[in-house]
Amino acid sequence: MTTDDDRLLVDAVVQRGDERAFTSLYDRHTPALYRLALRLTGGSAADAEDITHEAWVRAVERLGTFEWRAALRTWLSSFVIRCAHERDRAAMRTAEPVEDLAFGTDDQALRGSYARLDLERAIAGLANGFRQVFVLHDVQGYTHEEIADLLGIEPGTSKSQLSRARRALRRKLEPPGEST
Amino acid sequence: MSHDTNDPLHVLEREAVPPRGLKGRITQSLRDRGLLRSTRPGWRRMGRTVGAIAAAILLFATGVGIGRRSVTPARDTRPSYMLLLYEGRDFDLDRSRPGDLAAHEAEYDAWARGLKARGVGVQGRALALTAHVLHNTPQGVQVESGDVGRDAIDGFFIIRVSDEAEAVAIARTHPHLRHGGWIALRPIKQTS
Repeated sequence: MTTDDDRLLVDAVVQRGDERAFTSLYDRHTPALYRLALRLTGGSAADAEDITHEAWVRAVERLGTFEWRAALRTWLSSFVIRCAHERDRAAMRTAEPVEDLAFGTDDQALRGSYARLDLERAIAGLANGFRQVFVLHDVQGYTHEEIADLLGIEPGTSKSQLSRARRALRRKLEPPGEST
Repeated sequence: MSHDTNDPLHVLEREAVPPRGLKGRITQSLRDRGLLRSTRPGWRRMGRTVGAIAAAILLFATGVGIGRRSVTPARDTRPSYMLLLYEGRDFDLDRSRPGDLAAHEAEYDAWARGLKARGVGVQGRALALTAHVLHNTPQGVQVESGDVGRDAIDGFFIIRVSDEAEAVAIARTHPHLRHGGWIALRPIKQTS
């Protein structure tokens, strides 16, 4: 896959609304975008799907303004990150009725071992701010400056949150009895 | 942006694929907004339409709803704990003063929203002051109705956290304690 391929496909979508071109773009980039959304939401498949959907719609609406100063994947990822960020903020304003808690399902889920946490679960268990910075920096490879720009925070905040996220992850992943 | 493929976390990228049907839904959304135009030949579109109608009839006949999404959210596997809130004798809430109760509840809501923002699963409810208390007696089940006393539970929260230590740490920050109330933190037991 090359940037030139992406350019041709983007041009076809922007100029002619070419559905086949969009399908090609979708196939190339959606797996990575979806996985990013999945991690940013702490593993919620339903939220990740909604975020990926919304991100694509917003991105295609603005596709004609894309200036190719970054890779298309990076630009598309920024929509995923912003959508996930908006969703977190909206969740803060929404009171969750207790009736939504399915005790039977919860208990089933809790049946597994508490002591053994794998990496995905450990990441999902991080606080939202820590998880976003950790996923963007250590998994996706963004710089602190890029993260600061995407999340509307200072680069220093990104660095400190990453440091705390790594410490929290180390604690979660330590075998029982080895914590200091 | 860089990416170190030797990083063990890189392996995570190979997992999880977008759900089936997502492409179709996104494409339809873009069509609805006039951002895409179908490029399939007319006869193929017609064939698809006929096929879709046939499928719809078949699914209807078998009692399966069309258009239902089968997205299964990932389960939150963290353990749950219940915070039971008791007033006790030193609780500073004066229910006779208008707004006092609302101020308390707003403070508790803010505490819950703060937790939510940090990724802690949290839900909660206040309980009404009235209760029907039921006892089994030789004469049958007796029901006493009225206001609860100060030793009753005022409300509860359920939190999902990594472990019990985190649950205790979170419970320590609950504003109920500052107001003179007390909290019982109980792990929610799993069923066998």
